[in-house]
Amino acid sequence: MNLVDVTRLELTSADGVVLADCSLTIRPGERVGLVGRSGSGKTALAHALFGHTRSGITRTGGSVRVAGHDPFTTAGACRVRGRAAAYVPQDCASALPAERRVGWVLDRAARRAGVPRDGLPTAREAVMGDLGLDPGLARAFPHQISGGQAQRVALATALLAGSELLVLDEPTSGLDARAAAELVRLLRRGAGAVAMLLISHDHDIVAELTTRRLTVEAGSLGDGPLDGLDRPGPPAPEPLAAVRLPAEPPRPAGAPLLRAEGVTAGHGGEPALRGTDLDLRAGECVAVVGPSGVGKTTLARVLAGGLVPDAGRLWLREEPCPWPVTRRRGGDRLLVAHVDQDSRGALNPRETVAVALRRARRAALRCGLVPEPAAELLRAVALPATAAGRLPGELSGGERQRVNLARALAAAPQVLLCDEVTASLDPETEQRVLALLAELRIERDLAVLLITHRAAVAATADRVLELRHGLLVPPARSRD
Amino acid sequence: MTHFLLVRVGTALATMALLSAALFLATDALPGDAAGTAAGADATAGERAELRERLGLDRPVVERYLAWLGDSLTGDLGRSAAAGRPVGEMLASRFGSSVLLVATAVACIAVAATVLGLLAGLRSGRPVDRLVSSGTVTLLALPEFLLATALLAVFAHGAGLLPAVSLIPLGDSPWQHPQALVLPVASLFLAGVGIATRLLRAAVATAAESPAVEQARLSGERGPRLAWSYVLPAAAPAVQGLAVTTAGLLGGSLVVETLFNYPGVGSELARAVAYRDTAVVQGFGLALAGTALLVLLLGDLVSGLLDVRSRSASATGLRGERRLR
Repeated sequence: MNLVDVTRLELTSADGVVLADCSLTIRPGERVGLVGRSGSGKTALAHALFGHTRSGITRTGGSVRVAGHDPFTTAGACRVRGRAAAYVPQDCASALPAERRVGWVLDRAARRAGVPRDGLPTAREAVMGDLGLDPGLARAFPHQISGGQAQRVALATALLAGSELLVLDEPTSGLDARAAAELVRLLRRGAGAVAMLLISHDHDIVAELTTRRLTVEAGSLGDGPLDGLDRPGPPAPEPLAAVRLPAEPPRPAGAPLLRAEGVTAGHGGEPALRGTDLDLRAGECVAVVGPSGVGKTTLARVLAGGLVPDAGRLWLREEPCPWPVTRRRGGDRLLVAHVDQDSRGALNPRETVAVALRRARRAALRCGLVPEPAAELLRAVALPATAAGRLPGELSGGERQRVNLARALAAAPQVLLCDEVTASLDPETEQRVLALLAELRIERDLAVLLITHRAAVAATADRVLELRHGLLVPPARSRD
Repeated sequence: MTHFLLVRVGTALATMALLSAALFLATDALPGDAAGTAAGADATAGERAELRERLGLDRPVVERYLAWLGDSLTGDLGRSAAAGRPVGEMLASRFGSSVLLVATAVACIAVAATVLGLLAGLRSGRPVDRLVSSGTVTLLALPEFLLATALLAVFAHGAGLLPAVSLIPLGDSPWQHPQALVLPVASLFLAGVGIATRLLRAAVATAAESPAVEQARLSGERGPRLAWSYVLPAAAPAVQGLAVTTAGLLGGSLVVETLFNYPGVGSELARAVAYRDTAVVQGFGLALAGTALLVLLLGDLVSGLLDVRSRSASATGLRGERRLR
């Protein structure tokens, strides 16, 4: 008997069909990879396995059976959710309850799986050890841990459920190469007999972990091309991808646009940044790499003015500037734009994309800047014009990330802080976004701070810095 | 957090100062005064003027306000012109009864609003939500005197189950006569439960759509556990709504106490207004305003404490190495 039987499933939203005539079977212990463009309905299909549809999406046909249960019925949902199948979501940081400590979240997962109360500490320590999570993190609240750590906590709760099926939605998007490799190792070893549906845009991971691949293309499911998946490089898309960095990048000279000195910051305890220095010149792109939890996001939040550091000084356009964005002067507020890693948390869930862009553009217009038209911005980040009318909840993870980027650009900034901005994107779309950034650097002299865990993304920068022991230093290993 | 606390307490003190001035000026502007009432209807203009002078009512208003404020700060709220007793003493004997009445009503409202708010918010748009929402809107639209009168008509006059007048012998606590508390508490409950439920329902409906609650559902959490452990903490800022409701009920207790003749601050205050007993009106008014501000301040503090993100890292107990390897 198949573990998963999806027959002619059809999901519809107000804009039309999300998934049409979608049939999928997974045998017990089988590992299936699901790839496809950002916004093609991968997450909607994963949700359907749990009998869940996001608001705005309805099931208009077909059936779903997981371990023989129909998750769209109440009784079936009880047997599937957290029992027969466990789910690791995208945007893990906002999927953890903000008011609860990590330890509580893990204990709840263990309790659901029937671990007796006195066995909780052992179960929690075991799973945290397996996933390379420091035991001290059990005391932390979700806002105090990094994006990569949140992802591993979510994975830990799923592993604790001890299900026959593990559904992983972009499990490596927030992890650096080493952490991702470890995760793959763990999944190969730990999840031995467990069936898996792996949604990822990272073809390497999909190729390594799964035995069968499927692609979602324009709302329908097809067998994935087995060849091509083994190559990390995406098939070259149309002209935009041809826009590569010029062989001779406009080597920025002169005074730095943004200069930070001696930044010491962190969420209490030991500071993540200890006297970090950074210079960013107009038109320059600096990549910041480093393992998960090292303080990359903290650095971006400090520079953006959202988190006030314990020590350090900031200059914008060679003039001293206060840290909190609320105390920066009008034009200086818009000088630095921040694209947060957690795009679900960064966007107002009740505000359509068009309204979010309009607000950012108005702020720029008030300061006498000339922002791009909203339609132009959407096109630039490879989103269809219809996305303007949507709410963030109606967009896929990758689409949200690009809306977040478009909103940052709508304020016509001179410095752009990109925190894992391509993490949930398929290679083709990632390429387009990187090309867009390159274009903006040439045309508008935009300075870019690119926080990433992907070597390929970091390679597009002028300089690569590694955040190590709270300091920005040249990377340890020479790149090849 | 300390900064927030200082700013919030400072604002509350400034508001209190403004309120005291407004209260004093408003009672001063009331037509007629204690001299007129005390001198009686037959008094001549000369007798009234003499009495005014004796009571110090002929001095400029700013001077009288400052004198009254100074006395109030030292705990001397003056003397009732009608009863001849010190206002502070009258307040002390009445305040406890009023607090008991409002606190009982608020406790009932907190429980009912939590249950109803969770029921409606977690099933927003479904029949349960429609029922709760229309019920609470109806309650919101009804003035409390109407609610209290209806309760009186049904339970006291109609069924004769409960006393129509909350007679409590002098010196006894209302606790010793619980049957006298039922109708006043029920009136206040009905007056406040509507707004509290609606505020919580809105917070719950927002929380229920959050990614964290979606993930909890997908992990198999449901029913009371989901509501209690995941949704309610996320909706905790609604505690400010309860504080606002409580502050509103302090005012509402005035009408209810008068109607049931309940021996609290409100009924005495209503009597004092009728007799133009300015010292009592001002003293009791000051006490009510101070209590309302205190409740609002507590609401802000509790909701600040419930938000883990605004607490400092040392308070959350996170120590040492957070990073990996």
